[in-house]
Amino acid sequence: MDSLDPIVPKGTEFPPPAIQVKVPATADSLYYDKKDTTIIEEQKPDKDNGSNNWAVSGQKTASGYPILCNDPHLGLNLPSIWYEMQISTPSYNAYGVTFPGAPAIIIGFNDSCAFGFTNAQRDVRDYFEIKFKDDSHSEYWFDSTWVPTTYRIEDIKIKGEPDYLDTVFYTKIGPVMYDEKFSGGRNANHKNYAVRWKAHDASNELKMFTLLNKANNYNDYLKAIKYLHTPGQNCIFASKNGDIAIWDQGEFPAKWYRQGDFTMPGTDSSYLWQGMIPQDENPHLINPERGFVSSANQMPADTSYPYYLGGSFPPYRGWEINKRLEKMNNITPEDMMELQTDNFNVFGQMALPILVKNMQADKLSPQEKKYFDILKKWNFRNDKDSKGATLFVVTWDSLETVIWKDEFTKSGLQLPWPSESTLLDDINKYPNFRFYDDITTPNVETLADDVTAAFEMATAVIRQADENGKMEWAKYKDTHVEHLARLDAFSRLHLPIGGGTNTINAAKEQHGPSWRMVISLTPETEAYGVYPGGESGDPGSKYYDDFIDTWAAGQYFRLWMMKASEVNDTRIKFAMSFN
Amino acid sequence: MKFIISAILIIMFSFFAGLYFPWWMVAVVAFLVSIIIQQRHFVSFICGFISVFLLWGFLSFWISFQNDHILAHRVSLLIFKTDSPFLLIFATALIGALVAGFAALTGSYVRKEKQ
Repeated sequence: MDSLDPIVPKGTEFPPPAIQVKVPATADSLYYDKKDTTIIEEQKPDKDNGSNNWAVSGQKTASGYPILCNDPHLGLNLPSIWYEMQISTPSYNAYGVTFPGAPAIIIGFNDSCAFGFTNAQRDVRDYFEIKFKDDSHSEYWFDSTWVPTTYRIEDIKIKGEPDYLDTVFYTKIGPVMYDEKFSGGRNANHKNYAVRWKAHDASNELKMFTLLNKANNYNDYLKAIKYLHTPGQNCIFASKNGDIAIWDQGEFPAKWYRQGDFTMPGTDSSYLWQGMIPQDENPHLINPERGFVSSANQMPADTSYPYYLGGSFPPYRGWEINKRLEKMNNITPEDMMELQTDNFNVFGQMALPILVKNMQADKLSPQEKKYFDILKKWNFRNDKDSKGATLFVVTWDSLETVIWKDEFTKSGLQLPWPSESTLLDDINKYPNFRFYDDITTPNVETLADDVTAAFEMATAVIRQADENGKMEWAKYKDTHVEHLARLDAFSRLHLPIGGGTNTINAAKEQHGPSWRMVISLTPETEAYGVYPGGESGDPGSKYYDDFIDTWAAGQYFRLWMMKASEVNDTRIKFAMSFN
Repeated sequence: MKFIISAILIIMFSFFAGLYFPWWMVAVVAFLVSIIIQQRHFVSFICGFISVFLLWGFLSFWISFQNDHILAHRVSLLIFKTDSPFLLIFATALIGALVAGFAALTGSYVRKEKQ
C-alpha cells in the first residue's frame, strides 16, 4: 500500500547493492519478539511536514521546454518562514526563496536551471538500550566486556545562580540521550538509551545550495547534491537544455529489514549500522520516458530496492500527482498552477465507497439521513464550500476512533494509531478484522456497526458546525497563518481555502504549502510563485502579510529576475545602498 | 496667559526631551514648568494634562497616519479586542496626559510648600 506509486516507478531494476547488510544472529529473540515500549518523550518534527515537487520534460509542455514545480508544506506562521530573494554575482543570478540568515537560495532557479525539494522521510536516527555497570555510568556492557564510558560536561550558565553542570555520557554508539534524568523525574524511566543520529556526522549541506545556485546543467546539480547528507531530500531538477531529474538524496544508513524501527540492544555491535549506502545507489530518475519526475513524500522505490527504506511515507498525494501528470500534455504554467492548487482528495475517492456500503442507513435519524445523502453525493473534492468534504473527513476521523481507541486505551501504552492508509488497507484486506470489535461491549461489532457508530459520532459534531454556519469545508477546517507569539491580532485567521490532508493543495488548519513555485524554463524564464506571508517581518508594514490573500485564492505572482540593465525600471520602489 | 505659556513650554520641552530621553521625561518637564510658573493646583493639573494629551495625541496620530494605521489597527485589536486605531491613539494620549497632569500637580504643591 505504501508503495502505491513510488518516486522511482515499480519494476525499475536496481544494481546489486555494494553493502550486504547482515541481520544480527539474535534478532529474532532480542529484537523482533521483544519490542520495547518504554514511554519516553520524543521530539519529532511535525508529522504533517511534507511537500510536492515535480518536473515535466519539454515533450509534455506547450513551449517545448521543461517546467519545474515545488510546494514545501510547513507550519503556516507569521513572520513568514520564507522570503523571496535574488542573488546576483558577476558569474550567476539566482532567484527563489530562502530562510532569514541563509546565504543562498534554497528553492528556486537561476539563468539555466531550477531546483526544489521534498522530504525523503527516511529514518536516520536509531536508539540503543545501554546497560551500565552501576549508577556511576562509568562502564557499559558491549560485546561481552565492560567498556569505559567517555563523558562531556555541559556547563549551563544560569543568571544569578551557580552554573548547572550536566554530564553527557558517550558510548561507541553515540551519546546517551535518555536516562533517568531526562524527563526531570516526570516519567519513571530507569532505562538508558544512546542515540545514533546521522545528523551528528560532519557534513556541509550549505555547500549544496551555493553550488545549486550557480549550477548550469545536470552534472553541476549532481555534484551539488553530493553534499546533502541529512536530512534526506527528494532533490528535483530541470534545466533549459531539456534535462529533468530527481534523486532521493542523502547519506542513508544501509539497514536490514526493520532495523531501528524499535529500540535495539546496545550491548552487541552486530546491531549497529553497518555502513552508509553509496550515494550513487540512492533511488533516482533521469529523463524518464514518461516525461516527468515527481515526489510527494511517498516511498522512493518499491521493495525490489536492495536496502530497507525505514520511515513513514504518505502515499496519496504522490499517487494523484503521477496519475494527473501521466495524462497531461501541452502543459502550460497555468496548468501547473491548477494542479498545484488542486483540491481532489484521492483518499476520499478510495475510502468513501467503504463508508457508503457499510452504513446501516435504517438506523439513522432523519437528520443523519440528510447528512448521509450529502456524504453520498460528495464529489471527492475538498473545495472550500464543500459540505461533503467536511462530512467525509469528520466521519473517517471518527471511524479511526471507533476502531482503534478501545484496544489502544486498553494497552496502556503510548502508541500512535496506525495511519489512515494502513486502516484503509486493513479494511480492504480483512473482512473480519479483529479491531472492528469494541472490546468494551459484550457484543461483537462488525465494520458496518463501526461505520454507523462513527457516522453518528461525526454528525453530532457536524450538526453543531451546521448550526453555526460552519459546515462548509474551509469554514470547518479554518486555515490560519499564525503569528509566532500566537497573537490573533498579528495573525491571519479564517482563510477561505480548500484542500487539506491527502490533497495536492495540502492547506491544513495551520500547516500547508509554505511556498508555491512554477518555473517554466523557456529561454526567457517564466517564473511564478507565492507564499502565505510577506517580505517584511514587521506587523506594522503593509508588506507583512500582503501575499496571503493571493495565496489563499490559489493565484500566483510573476517572479521578476532582475537584470543589471533593468536598474532604472519603474517597478523598482526602493534601493538600499551600503556605503 | 500663564496657562498658555505653561502649556507651550510643556509641549515644546516634552517634544524635544522625547527625541533624546525616555517617555517619562514628560513628567519631569511638566513638574519643572509647574514649579517655575505658579498656577492654582487644579489649573496646573489641567495644564499638564491638556499639553501632553495634545502632544502625544498628535504625535501618535501622525506616526500612525504615515503607514495607514496598519500597526495601530493590529495593536488596538491586541489590547482592546476592537479594531480602532483612534481608540489606541486616545489611550496613548490619555496615559501621557495623566502622567504629565499629576507631575504638574506635584510641582504646583512643591512650589506652595516652599513658600
